[in-house]
Amino acid sequence: MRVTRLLLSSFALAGAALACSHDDPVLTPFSRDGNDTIAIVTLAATGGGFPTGKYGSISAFDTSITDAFGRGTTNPPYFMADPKAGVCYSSNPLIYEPHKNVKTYVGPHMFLPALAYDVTLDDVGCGDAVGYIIPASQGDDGGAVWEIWHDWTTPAPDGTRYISGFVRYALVQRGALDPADVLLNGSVTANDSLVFMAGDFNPAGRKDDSQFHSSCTTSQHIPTGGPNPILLGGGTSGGGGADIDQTICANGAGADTNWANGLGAPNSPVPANNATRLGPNQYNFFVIWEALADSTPDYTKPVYRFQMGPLVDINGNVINNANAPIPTPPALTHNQLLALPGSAPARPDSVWMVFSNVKHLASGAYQAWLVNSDSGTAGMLAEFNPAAGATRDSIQIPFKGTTVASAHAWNNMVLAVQATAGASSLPARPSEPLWGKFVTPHAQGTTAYFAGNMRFGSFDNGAADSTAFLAGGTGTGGFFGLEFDQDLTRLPRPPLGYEYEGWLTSSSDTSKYINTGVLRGPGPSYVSLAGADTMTALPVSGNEVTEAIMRFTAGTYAAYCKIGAIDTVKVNGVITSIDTTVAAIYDEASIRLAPKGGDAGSRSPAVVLSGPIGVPGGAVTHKHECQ
Amino acid sequence: MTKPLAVLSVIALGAAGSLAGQAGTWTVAPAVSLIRYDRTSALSSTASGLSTKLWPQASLDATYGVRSNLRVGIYLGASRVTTSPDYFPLVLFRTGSNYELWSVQQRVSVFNYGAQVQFDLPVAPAFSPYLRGGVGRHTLYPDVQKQNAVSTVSGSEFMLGAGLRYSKGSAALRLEVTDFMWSNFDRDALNPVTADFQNTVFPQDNPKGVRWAKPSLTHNLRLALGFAFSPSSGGNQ
Repeated sequence: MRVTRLLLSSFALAGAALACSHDDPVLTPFSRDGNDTIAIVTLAATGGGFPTGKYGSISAFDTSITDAFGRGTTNPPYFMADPKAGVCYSSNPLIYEPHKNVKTYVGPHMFLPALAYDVTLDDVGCGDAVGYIIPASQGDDGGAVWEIWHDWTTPAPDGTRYISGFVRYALVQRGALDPADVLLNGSVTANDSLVFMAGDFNPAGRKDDSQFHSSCTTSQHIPTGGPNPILLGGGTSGGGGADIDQTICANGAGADTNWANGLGAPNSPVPANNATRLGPNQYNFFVIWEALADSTPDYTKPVYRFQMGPLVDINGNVINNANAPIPTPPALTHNQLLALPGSAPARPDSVWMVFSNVKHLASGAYQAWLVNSDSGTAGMLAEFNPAAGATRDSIQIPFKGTTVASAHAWNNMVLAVQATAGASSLPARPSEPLWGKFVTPHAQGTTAYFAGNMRFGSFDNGAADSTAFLAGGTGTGGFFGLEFDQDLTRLPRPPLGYEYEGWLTSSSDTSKYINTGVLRGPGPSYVSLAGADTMTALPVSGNEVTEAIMRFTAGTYAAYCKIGAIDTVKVNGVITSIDTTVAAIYDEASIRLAPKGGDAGSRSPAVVLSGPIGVPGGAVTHKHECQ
Repeated sequence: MTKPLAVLSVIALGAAGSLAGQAGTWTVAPAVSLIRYDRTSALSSTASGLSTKLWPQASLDATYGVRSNLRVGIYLGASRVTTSPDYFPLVLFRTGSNYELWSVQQRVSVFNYGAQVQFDLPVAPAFSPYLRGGVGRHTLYPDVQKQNAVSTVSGSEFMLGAGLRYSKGSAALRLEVTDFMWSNFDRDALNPVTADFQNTVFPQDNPKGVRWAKPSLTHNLRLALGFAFSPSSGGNQ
């Protein structure tokens, strides 16, 4: 028994000692390709560069009506209180031309004769650039004195003589009316000319230096009712500038009663800016010319020209849509045009569309459709495919000649991605990444204007599950050995027809990029997520891709020198320095949405997640990887 | 025979005496053994064949002879095992702007115990093969500090074995092979790392054993060499 007890005791003691031992290592570091430290790269939702679309109906804008652009008014343009009220004038309405320091206030130089050169109105103490036409009601001496005051700097040499005046010009039109051309198209194709009507050239007025007097007893009497142009004083430049400040007495002996009329009043020298025919004492431009030796204007050398009344033709008839001031680009938007009188009598006969951030398709085509999601009908408008590398396209399509007869029957504008170019129908669950509603369908023959911005997502023929895409999700990972890895969680389900791709890009050179391929699900299956838009099995659940991976292997450490920061310089495992001599090419990792038929070699602009992986445009800080 | 097994044999043979399989007597059988836990259990290794991982185990049987060839009793075994890192996701640590991956393992104490029935098949006066079977439980005690908790992993156990006994007097030398079958053993319960720190960022680096299936019945094979004696007969003095 003693042996038995001894054996049992020995076993028990050995077991107890073994059970209590606690010196074993629990963890050991894991390395890959000789590297056991991973520089973290984190991707965050950015949500930029998604496809966008704008669209609108086009009606033949009717410029034949009197004031199609709604620019007519009984007051002249820039009829306002002095923006610097109290400095030079009170706040009563006057014409203040420049608003700020600007060059010659004529909008584009679209009328001929062209301006000889630009002068710049400047401030001589009124708080802003000086370019005033002040009626008597606002003037001094109890409302009896007009003042026309301009001060400017000029590139011409000192001693240049200038003369100013009110002018009644007629317009000789070349092609489309210039103001309408600017408002509709943003530019002028052929410049119209300003001329004097036959028998309407009769210069008179004051050619001497302008004179300013605050009292009607000393101000000039300058008659209207016949002169054209009516000259309003001159001035000679000095010190790089010139000034013409002429006051005119409106009352009293010898005064022209027309000057007693306020701005825009009948018979006022400054007419109403509408379709009212100009009288013989009314003018539509204020002009400053270089003067000839005798101080008469050199009509070929206007240097400042301000339109203050409507344009007339050579017969003196007011031209439709030619109200002051001369419009400046850009053209009015479609939405702005729709609100104007010129759109009222018209019905949409075509549609315009502008698409941005749409990637070139290697196969298939983009198609624009009008859809009635209530009736399930659709009509195709046009097909396009941006050129390789391009991401923008615009279309203008008349309804006539397409399957879309007019605008009345539809309620959605849709962009579809078709697997086959020329397809004439939409599949059951089409890739429709852009759509926008415009009107409730109208009865045929009624007006159905529409315009709007498109949403990005899955339209699905207007089904109840139409969803707009919103960027989301996160990614984390880094360079580990020869691989770049990202673990991505909770990415939104891609729109129908789209897939996620991993990209390495350069922030300084858009021509440099690597497409690391379509994302995959997590291990062990690493299933391709090319079908994530329709998948019903994990890792896709509901509207999310619960987990995905991005993986890229450069093959050699040397290759990573061109990709970004990996590690610092180490000697025997100790960081010794940071090398900044090796320039990185790729400094950003991103997850991008791309159409399935997209050109894999061109970068998709739709970024869902992104994060820096190096020094933008700078240097690799981890040279040991390059050695 | 491996070197540890030879050492165990010498120890056991030195302690062997004689034992008769008699009814109405208690027999005690301590043994030292080598056990190869199931390859899916994380207590072995992913290697196969002779490269598999073996662990020493101490065991003790106590049986009572109800008939000349039928004995009933209890059994228990104990071993101290280090889990294999080949079955657990790597640990992902974030240190500043870097990640680090570490493999994980821990020591666990493994106990199994239960009731057994043994049939003797006498073919010669000194040599008799036998069969044994039983039902019990297994209980594993993970490292308290690594697990950051006092916890156990337990489950049902079924035991089947066969051996050969050489008897001399009231003592005997036994050599047997036993399969301890654990029901629904989940190796992940031995992972001391919480889900937050398990590597999902670099999944391709996780050991391949992570994805191995978990059978409903794991087979833990033990080769034991021991001796048996009857305390009531005075044992080998």
